[in-house]
Amino acid sequence: MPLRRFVLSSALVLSASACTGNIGGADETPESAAAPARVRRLTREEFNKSASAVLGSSVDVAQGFAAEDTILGFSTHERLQVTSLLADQIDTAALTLAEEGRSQLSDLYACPSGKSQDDCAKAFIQKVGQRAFRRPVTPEEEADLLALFNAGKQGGTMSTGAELVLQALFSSASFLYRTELGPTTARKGQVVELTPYEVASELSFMVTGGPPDDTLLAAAQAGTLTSPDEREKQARRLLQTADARLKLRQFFIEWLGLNGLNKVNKNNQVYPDYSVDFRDSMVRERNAFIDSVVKDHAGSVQELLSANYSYVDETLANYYGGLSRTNVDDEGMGRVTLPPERLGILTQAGVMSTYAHFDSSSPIKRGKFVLTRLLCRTVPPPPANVSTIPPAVSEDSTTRQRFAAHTSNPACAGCHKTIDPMGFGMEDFDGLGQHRTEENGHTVDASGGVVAPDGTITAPFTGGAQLARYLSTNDELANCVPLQFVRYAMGRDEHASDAALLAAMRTGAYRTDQLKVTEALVSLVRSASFTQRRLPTR
Amino acid sequence: MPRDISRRSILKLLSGTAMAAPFAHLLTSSVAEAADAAPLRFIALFTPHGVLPEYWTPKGGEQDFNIDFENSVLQPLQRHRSKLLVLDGLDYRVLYEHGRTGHEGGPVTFLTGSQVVVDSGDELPSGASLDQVIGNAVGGVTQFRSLQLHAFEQFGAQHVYNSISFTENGSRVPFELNPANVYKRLFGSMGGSSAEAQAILLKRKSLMDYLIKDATRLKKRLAATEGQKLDTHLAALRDIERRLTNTGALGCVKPEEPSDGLSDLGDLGNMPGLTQLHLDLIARAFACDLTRVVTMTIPGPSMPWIGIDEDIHNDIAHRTDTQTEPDRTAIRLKMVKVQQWYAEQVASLMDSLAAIPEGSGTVLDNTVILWGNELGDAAGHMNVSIPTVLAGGAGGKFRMGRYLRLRPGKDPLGSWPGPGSPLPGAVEHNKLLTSIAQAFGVNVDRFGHPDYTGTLSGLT
Repeated sequence: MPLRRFVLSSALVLSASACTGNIGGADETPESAAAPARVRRLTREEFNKSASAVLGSSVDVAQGFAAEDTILGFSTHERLQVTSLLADQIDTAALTLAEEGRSQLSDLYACPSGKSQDDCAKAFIQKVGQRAFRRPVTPEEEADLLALFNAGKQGGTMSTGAELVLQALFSSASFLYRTELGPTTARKGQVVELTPYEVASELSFMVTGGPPDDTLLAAAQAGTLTSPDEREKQARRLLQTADARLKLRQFFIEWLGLNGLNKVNKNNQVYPDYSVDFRDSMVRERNAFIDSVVKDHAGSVQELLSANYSYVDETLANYYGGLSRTNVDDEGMGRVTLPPERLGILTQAGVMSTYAHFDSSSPIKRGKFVLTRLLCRTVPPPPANVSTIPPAVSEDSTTRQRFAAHTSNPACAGCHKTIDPMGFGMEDFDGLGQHRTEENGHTVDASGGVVAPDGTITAPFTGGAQLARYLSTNDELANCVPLQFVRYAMGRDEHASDAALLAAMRTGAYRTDQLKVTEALVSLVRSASFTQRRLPTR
Repeated sequence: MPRDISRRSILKLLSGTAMAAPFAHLLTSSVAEAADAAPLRFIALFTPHGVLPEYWTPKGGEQDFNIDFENSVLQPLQRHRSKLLVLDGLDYRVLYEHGRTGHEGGPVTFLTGSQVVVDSGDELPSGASLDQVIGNAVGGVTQFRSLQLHAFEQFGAQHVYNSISFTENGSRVPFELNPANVYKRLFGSMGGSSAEAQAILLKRKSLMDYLIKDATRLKKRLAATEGQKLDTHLAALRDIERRLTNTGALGCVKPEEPSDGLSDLGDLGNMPGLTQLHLDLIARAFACDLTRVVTMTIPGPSMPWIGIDEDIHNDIAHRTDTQTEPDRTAIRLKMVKVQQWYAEQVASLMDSLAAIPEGSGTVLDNTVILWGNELGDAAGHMNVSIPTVLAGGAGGKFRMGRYLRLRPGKDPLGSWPGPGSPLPGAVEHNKLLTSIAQAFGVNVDRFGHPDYTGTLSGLT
């Protein structure tokens, strides 16, 4: 397009300087050999954890930063950038953090007599620089940072020098991006193994959402991370941390599209139970239940879908039919056995409310949700010459009756014959996730079916609980979850080179052991997809 | 506190006594006035859900158009009639000719002219939006190339209504929701003493040098597409660097900090107040020439403050084609009320800009406001005849005080065979984007999707 300004990219510079071996790339590898080399910007949460690691104490400065958007439903994607607004926010935060570091890290820049101030400054730079960059500081960087240290020291003390260095570290590209580029000596167009430090970062951010700890950095330095067994060992170690459990919770929430639950709004005239407090109750159930699946069942998707219990506060216990709770904790959450019409996460009020309208259920949203998020099918947008206005809410018919009409249009039927049976089958839940057998005086018809891509109904079912039970043992779902996890963890869509990885996930321990996502994660860290990237040709 | 260091006192240091400007004069007029020619500014406003043509479309002809009739959506703009250019009959052709209609494509294409790309699993454009292009072209002399504001976040940050501004690689440009933060970003560093300033300035310069060097070093290792991320980053760093020595805000009066009474950004009841604060800040930023490009979205979940408690999307916009009376009229008049509220916001922004003298006129005279929507007729939910208004004096680049019917006649989709076929007589909005870009000196012959070329005739 004409507006695209020509970026005379650094590639030209590179090609001039990297002419030592490979000219023209006769031995270039095909693009399918590995996913492209890249950089990934830290998310807000990752920024907080990374800054905390440098300072040695927990800070939260990033929550006010510009929020991540989502790609493929996930906020952890590779397209995150540092825009003007974010750069300003980071600029401000970096100063706050540097002031904090100046007082907290005084031991690191203290200079005993007999040592030159430059040597002390260099030691400081190496120490905090390695923590910030998640790798040793290069000589070139050390020289630049020393110059900065001395500029900060001008008219001040060692502490003002340290402060300026810290300010630079917290707002530097080397801190804000994780690299997946391999060694600097690698040739263009080649598949490279990531450096040990890059692997350590990738592993740590994927499992815990934060930078590598000392143990992992030591493994990187020792060069042992080239071994899949060692990577697995490190991953399993980190999976035991509280940070890892939160990170898995985030996967489930984003995979299921439930991140908007805390903004769900309902029409009180239709749903008098709805309130901001009620919404909070739904959020609490979502979190508590997912946390138990992660903690007690190693993130088993089978458990997630087919558990006959949940963790709710008093509000939801009553809403679900006066359920009695056991083991109520300090936060007021207790375990309940679900009534037969509910099963696993699918029928939670929060899920059914998310996939609904302001004032009614939405078979279309629910059907599309199961097809795209749980089964990884593609649902194309409606054709352009078709009106997509949902039928008006009516007081004398059921939602199903209102929606059934539109599938008679042949332009719509192609897709809706798959979407609608799925969605109609969850009509036993209203737009606020209450179970129902009647709507506007009519009996609710919650019969539905899973339609195979070839158009045949493979699984008739009635009601959300039956669907959940079916999905919990369904191959299509079992094959979908690894793909969703790759999207989340790698921050990109499937690449041709992921075939072996996906096959390993889909046949490995994840598949044979209750669809434990943690096992899918282990397959991922062991794979070539995890450690290899292809360098650009130009 | 070092961070409160005065940008102004730094500037004084830099420029010595020459900068002892006659503040009293500058208090009441635009800072940019001193320049030879007043700068042209761009504001894009987006409001959702389409309109009802019978209430939106002016009556009368090009010159004698009338917006002052009963239930006229544009009536609140009557006092600015001479600075309006109402455009009826622009289509998002790039959407429906590429298999798209409905809400989602509108915000994506409004300022990009791009078709919707869904490779990412998300709905995004393939290129930059007009505000970014103009900002890169003219914003370099100001402190902020552009600002992105949002009156109220209705859904999560990824929701289509939250993004009308996109970077070169089609990623969303994040927006600021909180007027208090906008204020801090724009004016926070004003004030403070010059002694502190001197010490800080040198350090700030060293810091920026380092950050630019570090980012450049990383960029050199990246392929073109990955390098684009670092280009965006570097441009942002250069913005900060430029502000160290830019005299834009000099002599400009720091406005009063917005009250924190509206700190609950999730409370819908605060939306009118938040909208007003954002609009005021646009005017203040222009008065100080801190930026020349702003985008803002004003969504409409419901509007209890004008008695609209329903969900505007589902219960009003989607039901405007109700056929039975009295429901039909009741619903449609509610839609008019909602749209009139948006028009009032535009009018109030114009009031604020008109209150800042600049040269022999006002800042409004040198501003182009583009007010758009994602749909045409709310009842049809199609991206045809998108209600589009240019407002402000546009620095004389466009001839204002007119109403243009770009494609007179009936529903253009009436006899359309469907996606993939061109639509005879349809006028693509890309032409308008091109015209505006050219008005800002951007040398392009098309904007967005390459198939749609040329400018919109009749604007000048």
